[in-house]
Amino acid sequence: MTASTIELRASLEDRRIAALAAAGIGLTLAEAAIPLPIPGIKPGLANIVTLLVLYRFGWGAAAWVSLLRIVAGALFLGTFLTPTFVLSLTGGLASLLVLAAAIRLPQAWFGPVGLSLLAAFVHIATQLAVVDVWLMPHVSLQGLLPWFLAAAWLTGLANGLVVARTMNLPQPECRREVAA
Amino acid sequence: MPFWRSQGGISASANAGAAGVKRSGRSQAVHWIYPGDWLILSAGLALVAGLFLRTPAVADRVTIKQSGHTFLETGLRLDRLVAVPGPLGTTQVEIHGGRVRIKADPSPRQLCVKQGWLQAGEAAVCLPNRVSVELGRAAYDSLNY
Repeated sequence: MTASTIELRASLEDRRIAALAAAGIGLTLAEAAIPLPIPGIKPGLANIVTLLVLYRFGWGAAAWVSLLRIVAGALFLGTFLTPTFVLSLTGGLASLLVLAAAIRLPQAWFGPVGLSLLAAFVHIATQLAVVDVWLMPHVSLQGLLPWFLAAAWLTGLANGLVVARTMNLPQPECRREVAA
Repeated sequence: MPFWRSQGGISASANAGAAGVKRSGRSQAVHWIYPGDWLILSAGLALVAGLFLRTPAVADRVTIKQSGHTFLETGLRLDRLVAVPGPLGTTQVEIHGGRVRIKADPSPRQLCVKQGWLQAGEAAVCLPNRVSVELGRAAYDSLNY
């Protein structure tokens, strides 16, 4: 009996998504190592990758990169299928939906900073909603809402600026693709 | 060149470097934020500021008194039934779903029972049985938080 080999052909796009997801996972892990005084507030650096992918390769690629990053990041951090993972997933999905709508806004008026801010707000709002409905139904989170939203405003702005800066850098590989 | 003159928004500005347009990063920093972005930024800031200013005065401090002495001080987090003994019998105080009421009382007119769920800052007094329940603003303490 001959051993059958299953060959998975990875297209160029697959490899690109994998590489970008790996960048997101790296940022997720790096950010998990940053000590933060308040649980639940983190910079969300991986969203930089999601936004860059959204602008350069479209929403489908951004969704792949974001969801792969969430699942693989959770596997690395040991939070897979825990409430933390569910919060991360619901927040990520809601952000992706909002980005799908926001990327259709006129691009001369709405740039990465606005999209980053919208995604950050929706991300934390969804997570708080999940916590309120599912995890801690009897605890009022109203007192925490302004603090979380303020943090989302800051991180959304910072990440958006990083995206804008990165997009405005000269992009050598982009030129190579155009030339080829 | 201001960004709004550039055709095609993002892609044009992203390719500007490739097209050989030399610009210093510093002077461009303002242009990273688009007019609509300013709108979103200020709307978000207004939302956060509004929430901070309008932080609800959460009333979650329940004080149950018996004959003027504090019988129990508690919060609204845990649903429970508290039995308070008095001269006429037992007054049942119910905490459920973040609200508090006097569920049963041996007094003849049942005024405090008819008062129903207490609003923030309200108090229910069952005079014959000398039991009172107050719902007040939380004073944060290390035991409950």
